Amino acid sequence: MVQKLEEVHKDFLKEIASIGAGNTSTLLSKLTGKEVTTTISTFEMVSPKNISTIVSASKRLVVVQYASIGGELGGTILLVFPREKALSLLDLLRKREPGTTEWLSAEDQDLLKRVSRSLVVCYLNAIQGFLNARLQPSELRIFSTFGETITDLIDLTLKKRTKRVFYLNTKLSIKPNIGGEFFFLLDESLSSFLIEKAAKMLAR
Amino acid sequence: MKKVLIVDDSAFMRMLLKEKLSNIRQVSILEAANGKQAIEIIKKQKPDLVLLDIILPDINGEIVLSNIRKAGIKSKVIFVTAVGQKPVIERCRKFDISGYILKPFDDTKITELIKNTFNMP
Repeated sequence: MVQKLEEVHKDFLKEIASIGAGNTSTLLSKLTGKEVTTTISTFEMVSPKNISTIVSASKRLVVVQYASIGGELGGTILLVFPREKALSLLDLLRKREPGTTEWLSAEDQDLLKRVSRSLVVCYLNAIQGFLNARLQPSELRIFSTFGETITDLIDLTLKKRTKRVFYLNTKLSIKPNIGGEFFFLLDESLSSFLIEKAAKMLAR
Repeated sequence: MKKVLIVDDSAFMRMLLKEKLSNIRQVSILEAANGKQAIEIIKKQKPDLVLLDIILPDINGEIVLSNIRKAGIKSKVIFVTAVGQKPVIERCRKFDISGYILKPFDDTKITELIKNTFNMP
């Protein structure tokens, strides 16, 4: 059943995303030895058909880590790096001079896959801890694409399930030019679960 | 009565922390949703304790802390944040803080830390 969310519930959702991203920033900082900045998380309710446009807004090549989530909190998580930022991240992870990595070799893709998988798992673990809820991510998949493949997959996954989605976005960045974004998409049908969860947490 | 200021942009998180504080007697609660508002309240009200988030919409919690210390305000400060990066924690510790709690936090741990900060049984 879809229940209307009050402001406090939207705020609750933003806090979920902030906790996920905050914990992820700590892990990314450990992995790179650099300080990681996160933005305030944003919340919107959007139609699934608009998600692919939002994710691939720039139409630039992006590197994406994707997982659909089952368990009590069904949804989709994406970690998106514009290609040039992913290459800069690889320079940092491989301790290369900035600007050295110009294309994604098989080894680089593998490293990026492992790092982004750890970041997504960290994000989800933090949320699990906050909500005391079960989250079961599917096998994580990495894409290096102009957007079409990933957006087709998002469309397919989301359209099957819901008319609108709760869309949460948080950006991570490392100075001067590394950055990525988390997109956490939750089915609107979870509104009752979320409202109940928020109430329980406040009453504990 | 001890005055506690909760600084967090999330109304939900402020409600949650208020709920945890309600288990502690003799505490009155103030709230701020951003850094500038926090500095203003701290300067006027001189709370005994500030529960401070790092990521705020205007100025971050570190700047709030440095600002109030520069103003000579000795309110106790506990950071309550999802940011656990070592350089950030180290910078904050230089300003004499009473604790650094990571979100998601353990209910008992945060209550105990606040009580210890106030030397309450």
